[in-house]
Amino acid sequence: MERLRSPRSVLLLAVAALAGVGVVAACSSGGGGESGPTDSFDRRAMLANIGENVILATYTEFRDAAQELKDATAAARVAVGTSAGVATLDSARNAWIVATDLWQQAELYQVGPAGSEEATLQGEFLRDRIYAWPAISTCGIDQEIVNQNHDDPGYFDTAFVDVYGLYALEYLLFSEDPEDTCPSGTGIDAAWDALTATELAQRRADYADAVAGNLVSGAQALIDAWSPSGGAFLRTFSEAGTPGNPYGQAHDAVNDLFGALYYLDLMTKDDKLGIPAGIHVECPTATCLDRIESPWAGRSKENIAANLRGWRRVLLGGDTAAAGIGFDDFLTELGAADVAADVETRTDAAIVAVEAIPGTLEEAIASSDPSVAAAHTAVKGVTDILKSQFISVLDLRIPEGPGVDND
Amino acid sequence: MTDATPNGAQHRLVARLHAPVDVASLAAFRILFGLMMCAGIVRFLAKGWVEPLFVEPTFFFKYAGFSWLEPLPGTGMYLLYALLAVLALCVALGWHYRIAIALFTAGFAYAELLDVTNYLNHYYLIVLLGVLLAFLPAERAWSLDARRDPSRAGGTVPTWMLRLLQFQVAVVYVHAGWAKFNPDWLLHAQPLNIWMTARVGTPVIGPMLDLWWVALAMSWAGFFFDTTIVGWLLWKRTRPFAFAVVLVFHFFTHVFFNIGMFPVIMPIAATLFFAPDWPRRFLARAQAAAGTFLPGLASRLGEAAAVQPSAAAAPEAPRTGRRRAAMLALVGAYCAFQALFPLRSFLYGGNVLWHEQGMRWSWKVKLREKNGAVTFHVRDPQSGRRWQVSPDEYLNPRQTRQMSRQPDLIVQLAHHIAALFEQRGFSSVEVRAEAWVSLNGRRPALMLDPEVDLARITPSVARADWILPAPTDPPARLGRGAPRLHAEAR
Repeated sequence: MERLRSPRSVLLLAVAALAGVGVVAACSSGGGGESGPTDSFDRRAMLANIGENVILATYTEFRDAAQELKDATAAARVAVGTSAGVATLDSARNAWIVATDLWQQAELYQVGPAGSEEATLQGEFLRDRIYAWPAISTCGIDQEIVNQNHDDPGYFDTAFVDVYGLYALEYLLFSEDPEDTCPSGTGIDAAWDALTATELAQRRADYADAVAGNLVSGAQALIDAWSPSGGAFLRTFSEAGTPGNPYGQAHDAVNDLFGALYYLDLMTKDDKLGIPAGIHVECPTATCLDRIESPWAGRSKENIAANLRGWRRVLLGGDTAAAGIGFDDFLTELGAADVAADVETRTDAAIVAVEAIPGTLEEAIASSDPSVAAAHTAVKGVTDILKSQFISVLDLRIPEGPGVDND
Repeated sequence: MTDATPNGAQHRLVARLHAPVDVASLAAFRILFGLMMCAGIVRFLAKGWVEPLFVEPTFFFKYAGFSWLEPLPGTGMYLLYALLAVLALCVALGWHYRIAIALFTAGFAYAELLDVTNYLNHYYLIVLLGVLLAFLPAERAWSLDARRDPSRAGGTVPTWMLRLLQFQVAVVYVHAGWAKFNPDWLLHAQPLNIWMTARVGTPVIGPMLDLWWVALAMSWAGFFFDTTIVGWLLWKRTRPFAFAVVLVFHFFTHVFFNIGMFPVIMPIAATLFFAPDWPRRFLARAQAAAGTFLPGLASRLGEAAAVQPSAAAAPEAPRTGRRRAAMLALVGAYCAFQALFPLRSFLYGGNVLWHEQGMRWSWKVKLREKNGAVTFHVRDPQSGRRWQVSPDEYLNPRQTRQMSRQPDLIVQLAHHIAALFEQRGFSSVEVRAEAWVSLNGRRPALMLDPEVDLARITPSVARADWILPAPTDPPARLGRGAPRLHAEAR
């Protein structure tokens, strides 16, 4: 007993204790240590459900929709100038709407291969291959209509993302403007002017079909990156914190997912709604209709609602609270069911407010309809609670680049 | 026979504080401090933090009186940090020590004064320790200065020098401890409950971390540790136990929290409470241990442990009684400031974790999980035009997060926004902030009066009536075993 009280013994005990804690720390900070035990709430189960039944399921649905879109554009391509031309173009347009509605949900899921490598683990920015908005160049698309290089095998490997994807398809399928969108001096004016209306329609249809084909392969690449036979990100995501997993802890993957959801704040609230409506400071004039997301198809409002529904599916773990494990279950298990209910209520209110905008978003903004500001406020209500109580209770971190020290 | 007159007591105190003690402890602290800072600066560079903290931001939150400070252009900040690492090494080696520690401290303070969002309590502590070391002859032993110039060597320093450093460390612990004396910490186990619940993936102990009572126990343990550890370190009989607890406590803070160099600084600082000759005894033991196998090393250790004859004989610079008293008065004033300044938050009333007035330089360490969503509403009174401004327009995400919980920073950004609008031709715009803030998991509440035009607020130390009262509902209680006291209320 006396020996244990000696200073040396105490220090030895402390060193032994530190060694033990050191092992714990080493295991907790890397991916190669002992398997981390699950807690009362199984984050991995939530990640697995969201990964498989929300994110990958949406990607798969989108891939199928993209394939239908490809079929429709192929039909429209051969029907240009025939009696079936209008009907096949309408079919292609409808197929684009279905695909876009799905992708606008997936816009929230820029975690893993869909996200950028700076923002998420194993990010490949595959999202841009499908939808690069607001990186857009209608002039670039017009140039391609003139140049017709898209049949070259490596065209989409070298082309900028702003000339293909869903946005390019919207322009190609919905724009009926016979004029090009390039400023004078771009060098396509003469060639463009030489095109007859039918030739222009044919070239647009040809390029649309090529872009749709690339869309299918882009969607498939994303699915492959998640599937066990490909990049297996689903396993990485749903088994976060297990030995060998690049996510040290399951919570790190939850954080990555939350970082992706910031789309709702920066893109949905500000870029898609606040700026066009002239609410956001980035719009220097009363309104900025040139910043509207979907100017040709008039689907801006629906895109915003789809973004919110995409978030809602992550929150609930599926289409309904009973569908699977989501953030609502996480919050409830922690003892913060009131936060879960509040977030769900705000999300539903935001969807209702957006859908309540009469006509298209562009029309509503142009007529200064108060429903636009109301929708913006409702979306802000969602992002406000995400950035304050939601992030606090779950101890999540906003994506802020390199994590510096704190105290 | 004792002299009981005040003058006599004063003289005895002065004599006691000037009584010589072994310089070894101070010299060891100098070496450890220099090495630690060198490692810390290299780590800072290696993690690539110069870019996001000093190069990328387009707006910097200024400290009052230091708004003229700007980051060095080009690669200047990288060079500064490289220089700081070299200077820290010079401090450890005792090579041109006084110049090195003064330049290091000035350079480090400059970097920390560039942006309020970079404020960390342990950075402040480093600056304070650097300032104190710059005035103390810590190069008298085990330094290149002493080897080069024997007249600078010495075996002792006045007692007050060690006491001053001890006091500085004590201020940190005691204030950090009493800052925890609040309902959120002691009754609701927040914010530890939130942080620990998120760390249940930690092997071995992880499954315990979402137990609410474990967070409560840790909260009380942290409170008792901070408020009493100085006493245990001062008492010779408990000192080894206390130091062991210091090591374990700070190692746990390192494991659980992204708290940087703090867990290293405090154990090193705790060595100041050891007997002044502890390094010599340590070296003597090391010599004994090495004697059998490494006689060469043992010999070197023995030389290091021994008090150098020239150093032992070096006379202390004669000081008059008046100079001694003046010195002690200066030291006393510094100590009084350090003891009282962190208490200024009490002058403001309310919850300092909410209004943050008196929050900085007060050792309120890891006390809050606070996050907010701030939107600025700008109105041009001439045209009636309104805009919403997101802080992300001007700040990086880290700055946004810091700003969204600190009212004075929100005001600074409001002024910046007003200035930018003026540049665009909108003079005298009104800038209001809608700041929804959640403190320790509470339901978000408005932190600032949304009707107040922040562009007209003049920053001052006066109580800010534009900050709304803190929410009165209890904070979140999470995890297993958490009593749901307020489920209905929320």
